[in-house]
Amino acid sequence: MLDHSSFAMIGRILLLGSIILASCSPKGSDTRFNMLFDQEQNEHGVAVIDMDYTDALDSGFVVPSIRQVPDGRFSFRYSATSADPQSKGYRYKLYYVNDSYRFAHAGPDGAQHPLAHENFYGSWEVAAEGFRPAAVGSDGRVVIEDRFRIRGDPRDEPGHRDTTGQQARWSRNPRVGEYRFMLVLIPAEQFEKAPPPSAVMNIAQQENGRFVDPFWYWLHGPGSQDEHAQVMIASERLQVRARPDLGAGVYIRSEVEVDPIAFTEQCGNAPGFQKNSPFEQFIHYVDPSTRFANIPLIADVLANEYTPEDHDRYRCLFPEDRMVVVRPRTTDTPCATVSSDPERHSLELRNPASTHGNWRKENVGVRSRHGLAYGKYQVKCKLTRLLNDSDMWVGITNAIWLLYDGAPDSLRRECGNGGYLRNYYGGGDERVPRVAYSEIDFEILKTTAYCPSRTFPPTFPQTFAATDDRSAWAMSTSEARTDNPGMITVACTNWDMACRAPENFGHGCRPVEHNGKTFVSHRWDENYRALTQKSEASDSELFGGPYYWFEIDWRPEEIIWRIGPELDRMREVGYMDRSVTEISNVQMQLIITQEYHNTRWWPGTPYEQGFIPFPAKDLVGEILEVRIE
Amino acid sequence: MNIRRALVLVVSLVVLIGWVIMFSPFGSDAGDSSSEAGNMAWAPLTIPPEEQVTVPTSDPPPFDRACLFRSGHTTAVGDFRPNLHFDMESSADGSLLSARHAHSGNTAYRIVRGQEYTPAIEGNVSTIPATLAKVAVGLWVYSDTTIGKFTIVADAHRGEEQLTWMGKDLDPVGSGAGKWMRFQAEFDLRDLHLSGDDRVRIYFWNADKQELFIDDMDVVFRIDGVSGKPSGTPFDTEARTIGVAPPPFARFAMIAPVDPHEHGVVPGQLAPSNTSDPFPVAKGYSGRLRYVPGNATGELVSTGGRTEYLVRAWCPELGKDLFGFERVLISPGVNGLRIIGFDVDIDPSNGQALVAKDPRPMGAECSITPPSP
Repeated sequence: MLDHSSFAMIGRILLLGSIILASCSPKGSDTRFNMLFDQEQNEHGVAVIDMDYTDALDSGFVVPSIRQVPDGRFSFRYSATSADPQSKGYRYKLYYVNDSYRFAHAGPDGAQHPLAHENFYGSWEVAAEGFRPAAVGSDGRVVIEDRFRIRGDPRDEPGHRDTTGQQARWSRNPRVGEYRFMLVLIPAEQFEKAPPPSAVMNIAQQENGRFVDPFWYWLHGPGSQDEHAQVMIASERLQVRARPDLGAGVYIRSEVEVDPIAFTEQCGNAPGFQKNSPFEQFIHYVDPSTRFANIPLIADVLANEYTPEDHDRYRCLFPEDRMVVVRPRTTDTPCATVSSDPERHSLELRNPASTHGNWRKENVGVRSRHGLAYGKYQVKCKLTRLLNDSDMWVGITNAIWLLYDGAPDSLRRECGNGGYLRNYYGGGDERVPRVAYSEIDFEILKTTAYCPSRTFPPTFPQTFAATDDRSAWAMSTSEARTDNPGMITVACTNWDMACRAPENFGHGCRPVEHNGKTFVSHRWDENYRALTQKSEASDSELFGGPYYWFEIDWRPEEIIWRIGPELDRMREVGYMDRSVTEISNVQMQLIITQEYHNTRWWPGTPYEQGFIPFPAKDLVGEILEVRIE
Repeated sequence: MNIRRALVLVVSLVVLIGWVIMFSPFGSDAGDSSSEAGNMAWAPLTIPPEEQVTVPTSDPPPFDRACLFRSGHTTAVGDFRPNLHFDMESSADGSLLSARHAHSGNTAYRIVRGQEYTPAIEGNVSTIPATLAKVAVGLWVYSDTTIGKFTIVADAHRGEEQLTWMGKDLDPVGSGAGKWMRFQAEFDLRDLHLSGDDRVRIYFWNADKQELFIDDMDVVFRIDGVSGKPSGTPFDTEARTIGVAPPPFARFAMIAPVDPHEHGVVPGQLAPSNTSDPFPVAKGYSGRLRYVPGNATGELVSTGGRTEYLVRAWCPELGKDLFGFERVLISPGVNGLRIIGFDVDIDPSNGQALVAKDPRPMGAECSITPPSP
C-alpha cells in the first residue's frame, strides 16, 4: 500500500513530467497552472481547510463553503502562449482526486486498477459537463481563470437519492485528506476531430459498466499517449480536515417519541440541534439475549469498595433468588447522560448511578451525524477508569468505533469467494454478494487474550459454595486473573462479515507483520464475522491521566489502530490489511461509548458481569477533541 | 608404566568421570531447576512447605499425588475432586520426575525420548454429582529442542465404546526450545450426555516421541456453575412477576477498629465458630442482624423472621468486607455491634480448626441502620 510520502513523491514526479510535457509540446514555454488557495498551510506547505458542518447534513459537505471562500468556490488559473496564434482555441477540464485515500490509478498491467472507480474524484459541478472552451487572446496567450468546488456525489450517481428521490450528496461525502488537481487542455480542432471518450468527458457515465478514473486515463491510460493533450498536475494541493465542534450541542433523534424532561440548552431535538449538532446521543440496540442475572449490590468500585475477592465470594455464595435479571439499558430520558460544553468544546458521557429498585447498567454514548469514507479518526478523550486499586474491573467497556451510516446506495463492494454473511448477529446465515454492515472498533476492557491459541482458554478452577474455605471460591489460580495487574485489553476489530476473498483469510491465531512488529489476528471460525487483535495497556495510562489519544487510521487497503499520550507519541496497537480481511469502502460514523457487555461475549474474562455491583456513582467520560483527516 | 604417570592417569580419569557425571543428562542431581528465560511475565513459583502436602488419587504415576492446597475440595456428594493440581514434586514412581528442568519447585515430570503416550488421569462420571460440562487442562511444558507435535487429549468411553476423542495440538508458533510455555485446553462434553459409569480420560500424545518436561499442571472436571450452590429464581426487573425483588442493603459504617486478639481470635489458636444468633443493631429498630455464611451477606431480620435488609459489612477504612472471611464473630460492642472476621487453617494432625495468620483477622465496631427511605 502506498503511504503518504510515496503519494507525494508520485505527485512530484507527475508534476515534473507534466511541466516537461508542457514545455515539449507546441504550447509555449511559459505555461503556468496554479490553484489559488488562500488558506493557511500546514508544515508541508499544503493549503488546509476544515469542512464546514453548516447544512452538511442535508446537502453534504462542500469544500469550500460559501462561509469560507467568497462565492464558495476555489479559483485556478492557467496561462500559456499558444503555439499556434491562429488556433481556434482550446478545450479544458479540471479534475480533482482525493489522493490520501485512494487505490492506485493503474494496475500492474497498466490497465485501470480494478478498484480505481471507487476513488473519490470529480470535476465540474454538473458531472455531465465536459470540456469548456478557452480562447486564444489577441496577444497569442491563453488565459483561463475559473472556479470550482468539491462536493459530495461528484459523479451525480442515480443511486445516491434519498427516500423521496432527491439527490443525497451526503451519501457520498467528500473524503478528508489531500486533494490533487489536474487540468487537461486540448486544442479545439483536435477536440472536434477526436474528442476523449465520453466517460472521460462526462464522469457520470460509465464505460463497459464501470466508471473511468480520469487520472488513470490521462496519466497512465490512452490519454497519456495523446500528443495533443496537455495534462498538468498543479503543484498546489489541498488538505481537507474535519473538526466537528463538540460544543455545538447534542442532537436527540425523534423518529419515535422521546421524553424531553432531560433536554437542556445544549441537548435536545430542537431545530437548532438538528441543523447544527455534529453529534447525537447514541442509543444502543440491546438484544434480549444479553440479559444476565446480577447481584443487587450497589457499590463504588472505582473507589475501591469492591475487590476481586468480593467478586469470587459473591459468585459462589450469593443466593440466586436474591439476584436481579437485567439487560444493559439505554436511557429513558435522552440528554440525562450526555452533555455538550460550548465553552470547553467537549462532550461528557455518564453511565448513571443506581438506586435500590432502579438497578441499571446503562450504556451511554454519542455518534457523529456525518458519514465519511476513510480517514484518520483521532479522538482525544478521558473515558472512565476500568480498574480499581485491587485490579477489580468496573464492568465497563470503553469503545471508540466506526459504524456504517446506512446511506443510500452504500453497500460494500462485492465479496468474491462466496460472499459476505448477510447479518451481523451471528450464527448460520446465507451468504450474499454485498452487505451494508461495516464496523471498525476499539474496545477496551478487562479480558484475556485469545492468542497464542495454546494459552486459551485460561484454566479456571471449579469453584464451590464452601463458606469455610476461601480457596474454594477463589479464581485466583487462573493466570488470567493474576497476570499483568493494572493492565487492560485493547481489542482492535474489523467486521468483514466473514468475506473469504482475502488471500490470507483464515481462522484461529494468525500473525501479520507491520513496521517490524507482529500483530496476531484472531477469528473463531470461518463463519465468524470479525477479526480481532488484542494487546495490553495500562488502565492508569489510558484513563488515569488528563486525556489520551485513540486513532483509527482507516485506509482503502489497510487499517491501523494507534494510541498515545500525544499525537506525536502514538504507537501502533493493531494492523490489518486487505490480505487478511476485507476492508470496508462504505461511509461510517464515529461512535464513542461506555458500555456494559455480557461477559459471555468475551470468553475467558476473569470477572463475570453479573457479580460486579451496580454503580453507586455516575461513571464519567469526556471527549475533548475529534479530528478526522 | 611409571607410577607417577599411572597416578596422573588415574586422577585424570577420576576427574573426567566426575565431569561426565556432573553434566550428564541422565543424572538426577544435574543441572539447575530454574526455568529458562522466555516467559518473563511469569516468574518461577516456589511452593511454601504448607502447600506441599499431597493427596492421593486413583491415577497412575506421575498423576498419583495431587497438591492438597489446590486439589483439596471435594464435592459434598460422591467425594469427587474436580480440581487436580500436580506440582510434579512427589510421586510413588520418583523415576518419572526429573530435576533437570522445573517450572517451580525442584522437579518436573519427564516424558522420555521414545515415549508416545503418557499415563492418563481418569474421571468416572458416576462420581461427579452433577452433569460434567467440560474438562480443562493447563500445564507448563518445556523442551531443550523445538517442540514438535504435542497434544492434550481428552477421550470418553462407555464400556469399551469410545464416545469421543478430542485433542488440542500445541500451536507450533512460538514453540521454541529452551523455554517453559503455557499450554491450556478445554473440551466441551455436554453434547455427549455422559452418565453412569462413563469415563473421561486426560493424557498427552507425544507424537514425535521427543523428550519433554511437564510441570504445574491443572486438570479441572467442570460442572456448569458453582458446585453446591443452590439454584433459585432471580427477580426479573423487566417482567417483575418472576422471582421476588431482593431487600435493599442496610447502611453500614465502621465506628472504630477492634483488635481481634482481645476477643479470642488469635492466629494459631483454636478458632471460634461462626456466630449464628441474631443481634439487635440499633435503638429504635427492632430488627436483628443475622449472619448467614452461605449467603455472602448478613441480614436484618424482623421480629417476625422476615429479612428486611441485606447487610454488607464493608469498612472502607479497612478496605475489607468483614463478612468476607471464612468465619465471623458477632457480639455487642461498646458503641455498636462488634464484628470480627477471620480465616481458619485445619491442623492436619488432629483436624482442629485454628485461626489463620493469613489473611490477618480484622474487626470493627459498626453501626448498622436501615437505609434512608
